[in-house]
Amino acid sequence: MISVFLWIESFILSHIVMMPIAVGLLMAPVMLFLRNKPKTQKVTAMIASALLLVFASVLFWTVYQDGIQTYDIGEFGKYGIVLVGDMLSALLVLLTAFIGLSVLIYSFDYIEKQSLSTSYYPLYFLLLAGIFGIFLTGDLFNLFVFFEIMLLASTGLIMANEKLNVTDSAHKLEAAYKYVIFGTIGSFVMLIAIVAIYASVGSLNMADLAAKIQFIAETGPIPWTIIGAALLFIVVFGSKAALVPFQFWLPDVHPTAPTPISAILSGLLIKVGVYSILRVQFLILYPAKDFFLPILMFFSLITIAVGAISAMGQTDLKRVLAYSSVSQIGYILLGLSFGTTAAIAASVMYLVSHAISKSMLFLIAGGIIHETHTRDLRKMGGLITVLPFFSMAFLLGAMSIAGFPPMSGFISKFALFQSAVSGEFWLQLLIALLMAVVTIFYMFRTWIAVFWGENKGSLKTDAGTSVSNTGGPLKKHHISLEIVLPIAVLCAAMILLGLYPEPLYEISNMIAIQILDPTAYITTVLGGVPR
Amino acid sequence: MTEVFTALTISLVFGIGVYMLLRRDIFKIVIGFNLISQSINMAIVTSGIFTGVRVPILEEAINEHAAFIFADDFANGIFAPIVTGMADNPLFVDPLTRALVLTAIVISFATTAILLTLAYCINEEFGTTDVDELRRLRG
Repeated sequence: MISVFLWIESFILSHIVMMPIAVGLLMAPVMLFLRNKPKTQKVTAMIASALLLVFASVLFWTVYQDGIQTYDIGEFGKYGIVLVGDMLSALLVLLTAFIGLSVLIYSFDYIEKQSLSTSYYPLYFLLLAGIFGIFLTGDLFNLFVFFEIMLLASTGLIMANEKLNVTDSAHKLEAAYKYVIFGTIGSFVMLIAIVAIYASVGSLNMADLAAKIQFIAETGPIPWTIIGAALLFIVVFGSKAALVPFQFWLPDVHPTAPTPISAILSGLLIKVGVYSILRVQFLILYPAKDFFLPILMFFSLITIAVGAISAMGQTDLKRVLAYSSVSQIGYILLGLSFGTTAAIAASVMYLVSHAISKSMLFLIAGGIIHETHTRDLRKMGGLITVLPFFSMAFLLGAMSIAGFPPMSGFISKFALFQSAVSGEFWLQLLIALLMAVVTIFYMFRTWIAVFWGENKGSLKTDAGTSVSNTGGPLKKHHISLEIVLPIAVLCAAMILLGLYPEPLYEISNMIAIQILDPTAYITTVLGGVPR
Repeated sequence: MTEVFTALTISLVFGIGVYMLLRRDIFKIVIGFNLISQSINMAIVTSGIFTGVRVPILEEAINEHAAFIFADDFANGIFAPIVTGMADNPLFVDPLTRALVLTAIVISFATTAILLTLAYCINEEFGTTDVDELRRLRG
């Protein structure tokens, strides 16, 4: 009996890099087979998601202790697919598993039963597998494949039905259409860039590419195909991360999706774009940095301004949060575009902090919508007496996004501005600070509009009739534990990261050093042969 | 000469695809996506083909060049796999591009299926396949 446990343990430890992807891909068909047994399905999904969190923690701990882990699929060496778990991958996998578990618990009560059983669970695990794959892969073409898995799974999830009929299906179709069309064009551009790189360097392995492009840059001028590919990659990953010329799909898609999926989209899917910029541009194409860093800096400054100013004038609760995501992603990319170690570390901290805070804010928005049956800010107000827990949590989330001291958002924003000062980027610092003030304005405007003042018709009277909804008596839906618990957990994580940021700060610094000096990555992946 | 014609074909198909992408009918847009993806697939395949090359059978027993093809030589600026530019050795077609193109074809198939399903649902919901009618969100 004990030997079986030992065998399982050694099996898991030797395949730990593969495990998150494997469990995600396996659970998708399993969930499909269990679709006639909702109870079993729920328990299985719960266990699988918790298992993913455990595997992610083990992976993170292994990478933290023993350095970069590689996993060779199919014994082809660098010509095959290699999975690599370095510090950045491990941190983001842990973040994904954590937010994934919280959002899954939330969606038990939020998503409509039929939709939950037949399509939601399988696509959800497929989406998680896609995200894990993007974070863990060490192969450029495999990155494209996982991007496609993520795109198709999230398209299906955007169209999942909620229990409440707040968003009509025509809007969902339109949002999904925009999302899939834009995502597919992005994939084509990415494929062209990958082919350009492959044709000019002759490899697809990220470590191999990094070594070879470094070598090319040392011996002569960089070929124009590589520079062109670097700029194309900015376009692709910028469109995933909603950099400004490509931000227009986000404010339509994120509010229209069901709330748990909005949390995943805003919390994780736009971070995938940031991760890919960090991985592909900074690890592989770093010699071409003089060409893409100024472009990235210019557009990220515009992104900050456009997102913040647009968020000020919105009347839809979820749309405010979506525009806020655009603005915050601008801050993260601004940190990357400074290109110094401190700035990249600050960006990684900002990424983690924003993922947790924005997921939490979207989940709270879902809870508010549950109570009020509307997304319109003009019909809300006075909810502080009805929803004291949500008002407190929303305030904490708003403080984190705006960058107020005890929250994780403060530490990351402080680190970012500090890196701007030490790098002497004065104009960029001025714009970022100005827009931080705007951020405070729109976050607290939203909080006041929702929770303070008089209610403007969204709350139901005791007789069961509603002022805003005239379609028959509405049944009162109680806020269940399944909705409260994930919000509380994410809120606790946010405060914890704000009060005790040293571990995250240390890990972010390790990540920045690993990214800017890829020697350890290259030697580990290519089998210890020093270049 | 063949390179010129392949390049022309790829660019022509890509251009037709972009033209179709700018139409108003969803089904024409889907066809445009397919054309673009086919042109990119052609580009992937041709990135591994050079004139006057041999089929790559890279085992020591069959081909005596197998050893150096997969070996990097950074000192002389030679990157593995060596498929071109060797004067005293025969040239080889790059075998990896086929594997890439198969994956790309499968993925574009899945995307097309999703897009066609979406187009059908939009036709049911809106009563039209004209994308200019899809303006209820005003993003």
